Amino acid sequence: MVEKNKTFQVVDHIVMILLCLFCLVPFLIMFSSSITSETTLIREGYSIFPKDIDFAAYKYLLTGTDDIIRGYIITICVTFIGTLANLVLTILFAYPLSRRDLPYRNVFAFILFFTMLFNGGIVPSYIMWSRFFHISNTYWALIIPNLMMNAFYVIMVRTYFQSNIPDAVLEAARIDGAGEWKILLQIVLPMSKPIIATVILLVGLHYWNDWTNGLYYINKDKYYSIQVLLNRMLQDVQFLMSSASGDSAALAASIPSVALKMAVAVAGVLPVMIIYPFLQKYFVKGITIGAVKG
Amino acid sequence: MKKKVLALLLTTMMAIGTVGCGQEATGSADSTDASKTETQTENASSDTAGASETVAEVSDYDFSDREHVTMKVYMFGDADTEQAEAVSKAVSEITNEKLNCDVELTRIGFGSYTTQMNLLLSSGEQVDIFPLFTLSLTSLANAGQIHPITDILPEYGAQTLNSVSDSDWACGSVGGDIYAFIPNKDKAADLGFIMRKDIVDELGVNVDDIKDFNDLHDVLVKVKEAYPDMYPVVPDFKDARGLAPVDTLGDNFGVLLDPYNSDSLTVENYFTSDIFKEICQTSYDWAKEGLIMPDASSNTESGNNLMKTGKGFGRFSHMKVGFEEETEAAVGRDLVCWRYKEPLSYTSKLSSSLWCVSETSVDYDRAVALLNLMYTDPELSTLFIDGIEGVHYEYKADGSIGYPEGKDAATVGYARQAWGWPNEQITPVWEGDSATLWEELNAFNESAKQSPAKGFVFDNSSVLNEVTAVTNVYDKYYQALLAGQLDPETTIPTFVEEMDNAGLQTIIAEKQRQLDEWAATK
Amino acid sequence: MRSKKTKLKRFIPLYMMMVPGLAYLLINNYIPMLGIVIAFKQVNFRKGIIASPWVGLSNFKFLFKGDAWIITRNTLGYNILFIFLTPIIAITVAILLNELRSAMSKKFYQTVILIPYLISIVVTSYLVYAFLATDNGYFNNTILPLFGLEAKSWYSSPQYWPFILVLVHIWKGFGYSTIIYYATLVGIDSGYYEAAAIDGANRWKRIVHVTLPALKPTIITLTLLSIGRIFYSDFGLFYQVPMSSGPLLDVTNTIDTYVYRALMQSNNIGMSSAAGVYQSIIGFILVLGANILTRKISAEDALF
Repeated sequence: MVEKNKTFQVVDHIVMILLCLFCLVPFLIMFSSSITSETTLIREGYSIFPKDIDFAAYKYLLTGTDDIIRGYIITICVTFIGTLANLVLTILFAYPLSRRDLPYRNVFAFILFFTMLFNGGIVPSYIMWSRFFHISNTYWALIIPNLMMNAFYVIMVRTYFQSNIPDAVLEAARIDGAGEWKILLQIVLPMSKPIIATVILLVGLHYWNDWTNGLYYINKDKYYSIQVLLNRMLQDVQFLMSSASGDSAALAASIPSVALKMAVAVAGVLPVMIIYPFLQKYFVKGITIGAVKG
Repeated sequence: MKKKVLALLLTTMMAIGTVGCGQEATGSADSTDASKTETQTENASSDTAGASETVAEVSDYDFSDREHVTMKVYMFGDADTEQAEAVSKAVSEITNEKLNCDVELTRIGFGSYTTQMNLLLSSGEQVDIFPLFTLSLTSLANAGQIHPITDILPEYGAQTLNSVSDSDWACGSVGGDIYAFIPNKDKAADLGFIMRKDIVDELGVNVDDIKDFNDLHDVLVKVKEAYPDMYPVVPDFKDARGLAPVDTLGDNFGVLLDPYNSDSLTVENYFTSDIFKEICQTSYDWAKEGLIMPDASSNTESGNNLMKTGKGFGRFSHMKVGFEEETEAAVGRDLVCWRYKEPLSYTSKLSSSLWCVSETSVDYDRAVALLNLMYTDPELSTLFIDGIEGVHYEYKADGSIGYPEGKDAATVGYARQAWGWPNEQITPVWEGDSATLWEELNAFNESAKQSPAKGFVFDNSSVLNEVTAVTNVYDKYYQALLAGQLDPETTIPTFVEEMDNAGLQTIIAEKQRQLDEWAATK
Repeated sequence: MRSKKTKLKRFIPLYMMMVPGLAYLLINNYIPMLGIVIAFKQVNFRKGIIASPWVGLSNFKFLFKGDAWIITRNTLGYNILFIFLTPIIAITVAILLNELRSAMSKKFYQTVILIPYLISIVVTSYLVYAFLATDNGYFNNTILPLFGLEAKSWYSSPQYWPFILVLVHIWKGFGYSTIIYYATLVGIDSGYYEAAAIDGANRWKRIVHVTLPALKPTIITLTLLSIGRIFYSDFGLFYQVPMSSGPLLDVTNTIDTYVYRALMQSNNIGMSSAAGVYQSIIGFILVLGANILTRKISAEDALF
């Protein structure tokens, strides 16, 4: 039995290592292109190990412009505030939905779910946020539209509450005279750390990765987050590729090099790779505390 | 009970929704009125067109009796916020005196320009003037997003009105109304092949001896032998062969096959023509010989970059006066051109730099006056195009201007897209360009052959369904055929058949109908 | 009636909790949703959206012209593949992660498999290009010669692309899905496993009888949600990753890329809105059907 278990562990590790390689190799190419000169990239192509090393792109990022530092600060603040706001909205909506005894809960579930399927398109949303709430070119534009509540996460949390928090526990609390708010804060939340950690993680990633709000609502560079910055660069290239033979030569002069694009991409991913293992700790901790079952 | 509550909920939702929607609608419909009311609250005497008319007779556009406003100018090309603000401030000093308004310039990177402008123009937010760039003149005009300026021009844009030819104005017109301000720039294009001079010289080739594609082919073969690592022909992004030697009448779906020599206004199918077949066949043959970069139609690099890094020898392109110098600056090598088609002036050559007045402008008259000023005032035009002296550019010894010491396009913080502005020709020439560039450009424009359909703007709104389907087929084959990736012998017939199934003939018929109508009124 | 009222009163705090969320949904989703009328109008901004003339279904016509069959087939085909493949792979990986004993390596593996999710799709398209570019790509330059194979021009060979696209999709998304399933997995009471172990169940039996049933609600929810999106496609994956290469269009053109190509120039908001409505309605019908089915089989897990 123990022997068998050991073999299983070894096989398990091997499979996971292969998967990790599958995920890492493209990332390595990304990194190696960010430290390769433009000429080498175009002439000799991409490779996992850089053929010559040229830190020009990173030098430029660190000294040539203050965009990156500013972008980092904005991204971190936006991610922090946005995730917090989203978490509050999500939990407050998901908990009542998880209550099987709540009258009309299906109506509310439907109202929520319906938003995942139908939308009026970007123009009405833009009119709403930009003309009535005046959030264009403010930091709010990166936080509020579309990202602050996502039906997907609400449903996920609801499902978790529903299947992991026994009715008996809630009933017991009610008999003890606890109000709904107290039940939510003192009983449900402590039992839901894994899902909360997951939502923080996933919503945080959404905020971290988002560039669409920046594309729609922002045209002043002092509000660019890292991803908006990166996306601007990439979009210019995409544009030149899709518009055959306009005056592309005249426009192409301002295109950043491949190395720079890759360096910004690395800059966008790296912090998450560093922070994630720390988040993991809570993720795992939440598990042991969360497993109170009836 | 359950049902009742649901119904109640839905009605409330609908009611709130309708209110929201009502606001939304007023927002987009009456936004100009709304913004006008705003100005009116401060000065009740504003917006009296009659009064200003009488003033205008005395002096050219005097707006001192109108409300002081801020005009919002949008332009593609990136700029740091601070730099754009600095330029706005400098521009406002001039416009305050002449137009009684401030100017707020917003630069939008060209990759996001289309998205952001569409949103701005659809949302009813204040936009005063902007260049079309990739936006379509006819769809903006049809959707009521831009304002006709026919009646405003004589009064507030007189100087421009007189210095631009009628056939040029027609290029900015939809349904008989002028919707766009015509820029002063290269209004024609010739077609050619630009290549590295050092290699040409080394191989002992005289570019003047290249007469046709066979001669070019021989040169390319020589290059291939001498430099096996180099691709003799590289694409510019996905485009391996440059523009077609026809008048595309806007979109390639129905063209004038010989605008150079014939006055015929028959709209024909380019894809069944011998010209198209020949181009594809040459590409295909060349690609088989390894003369064209493989898979050119999915290339992600600019042609200039490929030449700069030594991967490419030359590329096809449309050209203009000073094209060599402009490209040399980007490639960093000496270049030489072989031109195979003389300059042709046609409608779509102008369309990317047309400037429009948004329907949501605070003051249409002043918007036109501002455009007119940008067209006629060298100081203002230079500010917009090149930025502020000493910050974004400085005078060089030879009288041209260039980036200040230690700055370049990437670090100056204000993108220079001279050709996109109303009038680059009243600003100092850029470093490296010929000192007499503007005179040469005028001569080039004048010498250019005029396409018989110049001034015709195709309005595809009635055949949009066909256009959308045809575009998808076009994307499937066109660039790949030009890059020599597909065998024209077998592919062109399939291509043509699919195009016809998608409705190409309907588009051609509609284009012909509009063209005939246009010719009749001309 | 009275007792009903008092019963409802008990739930007031619960309804209050939902107010902020409902307000957000109203502003962010429901009011803008009225923009759906745009799909049935020929919009003239001078008149305003409401006053613009109705044009019936004519904005929808372009969706059924030309390559309609191909784009529908591609959109549905890829999505159905994704709906099956993603959970299978993600659950397998989540279980493998969960079975590992070393906490250190759990952490490490999880971080690494999430990396692709963090890379923007446009950067992904460059990475794919780095592998597949005809003359300087990693495959043609390094890998194929190892096996003595000829260089291929990937971007003009449609036969490989269904496989490449699925691979890229999985590469990018499986880490994310894995985390979702893993979160549910770790929430399973260890008591169940212990009980199973006492009963003498082996690892496989424990997975089948404890793990999978515990994952069932999550699987059902996620599947229902993806059914609702079945007519949508990831624009970046189908447009940018194949570099919008013409010869590949037969296997890469989906509804979203078709609409993008179709409307890039004219930017007709009536037509783009019509495309959205079409995609939503089909998804809506399918998901309603699936939900009814779910209710019959396992009412607990139905979405609404």
